[in-house]
Amino acid sequence: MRIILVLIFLSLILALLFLAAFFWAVKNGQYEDDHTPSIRMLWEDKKPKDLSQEE
Amino acid sequence: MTLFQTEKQVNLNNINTANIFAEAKCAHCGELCLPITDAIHSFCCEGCQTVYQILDKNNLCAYYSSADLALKSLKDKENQHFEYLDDVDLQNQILFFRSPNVSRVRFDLPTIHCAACIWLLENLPRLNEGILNSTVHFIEKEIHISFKESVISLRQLAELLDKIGYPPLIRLDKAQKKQSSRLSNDLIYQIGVAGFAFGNSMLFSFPEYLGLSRDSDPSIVLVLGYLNLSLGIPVLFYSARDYFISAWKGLKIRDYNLDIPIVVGATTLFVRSAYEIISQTGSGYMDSLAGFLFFLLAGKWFQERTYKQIAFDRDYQSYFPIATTKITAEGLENISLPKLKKGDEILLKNGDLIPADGLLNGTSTSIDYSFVSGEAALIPVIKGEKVYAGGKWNGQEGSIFLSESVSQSYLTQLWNDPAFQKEGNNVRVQLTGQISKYFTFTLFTIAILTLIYWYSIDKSIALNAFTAVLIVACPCAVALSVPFTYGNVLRILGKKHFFIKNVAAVEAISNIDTFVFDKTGTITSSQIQQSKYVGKKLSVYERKLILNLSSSSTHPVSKTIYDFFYQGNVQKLKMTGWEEKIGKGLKAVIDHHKINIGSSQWIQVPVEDREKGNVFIEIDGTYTGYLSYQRTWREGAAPFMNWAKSKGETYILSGDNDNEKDNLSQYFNIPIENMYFKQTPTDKLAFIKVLQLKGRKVFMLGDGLNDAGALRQANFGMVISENQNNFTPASDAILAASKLDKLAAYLSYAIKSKKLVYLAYGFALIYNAIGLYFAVQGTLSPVVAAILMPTSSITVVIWGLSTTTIFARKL
Repeated sequence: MRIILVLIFLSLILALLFLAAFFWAVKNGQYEDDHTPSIRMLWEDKKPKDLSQEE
Repeated sequence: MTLFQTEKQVNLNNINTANIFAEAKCAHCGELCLPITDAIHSFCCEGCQTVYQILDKNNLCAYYSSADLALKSLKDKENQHFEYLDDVDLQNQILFFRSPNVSRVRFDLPTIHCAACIWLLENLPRLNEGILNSTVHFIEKEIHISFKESVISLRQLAELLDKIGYPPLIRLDKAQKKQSSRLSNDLIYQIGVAGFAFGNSMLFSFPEYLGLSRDSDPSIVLVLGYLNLSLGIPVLFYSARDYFISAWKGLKIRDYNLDIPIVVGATTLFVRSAYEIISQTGSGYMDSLAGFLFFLLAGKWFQERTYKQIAFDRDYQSYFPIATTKITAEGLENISLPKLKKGDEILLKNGDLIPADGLLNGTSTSIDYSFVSGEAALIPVIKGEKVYAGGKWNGQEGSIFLSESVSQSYLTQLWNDPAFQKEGNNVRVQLTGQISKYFTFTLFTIAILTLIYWYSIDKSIALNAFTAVLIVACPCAVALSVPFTYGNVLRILGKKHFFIKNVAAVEAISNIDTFVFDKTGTITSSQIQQSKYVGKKLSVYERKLILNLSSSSTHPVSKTIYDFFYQGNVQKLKMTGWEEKIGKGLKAVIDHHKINIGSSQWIQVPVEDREKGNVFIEIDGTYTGYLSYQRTWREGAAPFMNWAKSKGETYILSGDNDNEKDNLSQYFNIPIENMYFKQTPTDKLAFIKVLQLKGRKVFMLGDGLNDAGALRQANFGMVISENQNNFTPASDAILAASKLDKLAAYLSYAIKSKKLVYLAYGFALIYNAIGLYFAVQGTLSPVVAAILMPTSSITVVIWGLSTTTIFARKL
């Protein structure tokens, strides 16, 4: 039964990692704007250089 | 950029020759021009033709069917002036971050409206190599730009944005505050911590839930207990921190708010759990502690989510420009408004706002006070006459000598009234306030009675039962009723373009018994007149003649004529023999044509038209037709007025004169003695105060700066707005003008929601009673607590969300 203690500590560490990830995401501003990225992802990721070559 | 300029050049050349040849409308920008044609369409320049061809080739011609966007040339648009951005003090206030290599700035760009805007704005680095990065926040309509000041100055950056059609809105008050998001981040962290502890401590309490015997493996129980304890510490000291602060503040002023029993409950839970864990007599209630704090904080977050793009607390600072041009002995100098002093001479251009009271210097001009007084007519002023802050300069460039500083001006003094000092951030719902007083009192009475009862019977149970009462009666569910019920009302109405400031304002609606309306712009549409022209078809040239004549006069009727015939481009023609007779009309000889505009006494009008038209037009001695216009009431104003009358007394206040008195009284069926005219902003404020002294709960519906004081003083001040980006004065709610016909339904809905809150309180109290039943007997087990507390919270949350959503279906 003692082995369950190891599992519990592992789960706690995992949960702490998630908490840290959550903090990071908030700090990073990922919850500030939930609309613009959905539009932005639809554009081609072309660097200015590539475009000027096309023209 | 060079392309942009040459295009403009070509454009101008075409316009100059346009008079000689047949004119046509450019298919892209709508300019009248000597066309370049491609057999089907005409264009004013190659630039427009190219754009059209690109759109056409890619099947994007739907662009031209959108009336708002298409067929508008930007050529005539007056560029804004951003000279003041060269001022270092101002730069430091506006810039987020500054270093030689990179500076960061945030601009509000109200004209952002579509995905293409984002695309263009995020490609700014390609327009100027000084711009390193630009990120758009679509919902807030703002842009964050990193740039090199050595390559492009802040002013050039603002001018670049203006040039591509996104003039930045620079307001000092907005530049200064940007910390509100930091505050709510704290709340999100607190929720995160509580949620984390909630989930994990439930896991660690599992053996307890399953009735795992303490004897089977004491070490596991011990470890789990200490883990629970360590999870409880951040919950109590970090997540619950704000409740402790609020409870303490409440105690100090003897305001027994709901946070006091919450804090007592949380502390008791923690202390008793810690004692049980350390003494190994039990496993504690840490999961309940984390759980109820998680719900409480989530409720707080739910009700605190606000409309980011809407500001409810703007004062005159957000209306006035950030800086103005001062005339000094050395020349012109840009100066920020607070630095202006009495006696300074400032330069004003057409369309500029007058920042402070002053005396006109130089040529006479006219001032548009519509925002201050609500009166639509332009007021002519002559040299030496007084002009007031808030007016819009209309006419040639001129200057004024300031007779007051900005904050001491007639209009801005309104903000010195105590009405503007009240509240602050206090979002207190009265209902909860009343309940919490009784709740706190009853709770402590029951707890002490329990303690006394058990003390005389069985001392070992006494403390146990006492703490159990404090724990289980914790008003978590009560505290959640308002945030989730009113919070959801707020959200649902927001989706329907009725934006309420906060939950306290939702509650205020249900107490209203008196309605006060502003007239101009509120119950009448701000597009003052609806005009129509009847008569001989006018050529483009004839329209041009009419425009030239009507633009020369500041009379409101002339403005109506001008607005009616305006088509995007007015070319100034030579004018002689100009004459205006007040009350009759005006005439002039323009480009060798005699033009007459005026009443039927001024012009020979056929008998059948005399009664139909309001103003008549004559060109070269022949009558061409008439223009008729009407003041339009805002759609939905009359039905709402009827609803208001069924709820309480109604009044109309107006800054205008009383010539529409009878008309108003008839249309809205309001007695004349309930209408007040020529009301200054201060009068309006005083009027509300008088009503309140009589014990009335006042609803004020207004639209402009002239209502600012009344709106703030009223129990529920509401602003009606044609456009969300428009300036709206401080208020409790903002309604989109198009939704006025629905307002009665919205308000009824908000009033109804108060009953839902009462019912939610009922549920919460039933759960509390069940909990108390166990607690007073000293038999509250952690399992019962762990089930009862979250279920009561969840019931209240689901009740609040579902009932408000169901009732909203009818809206």
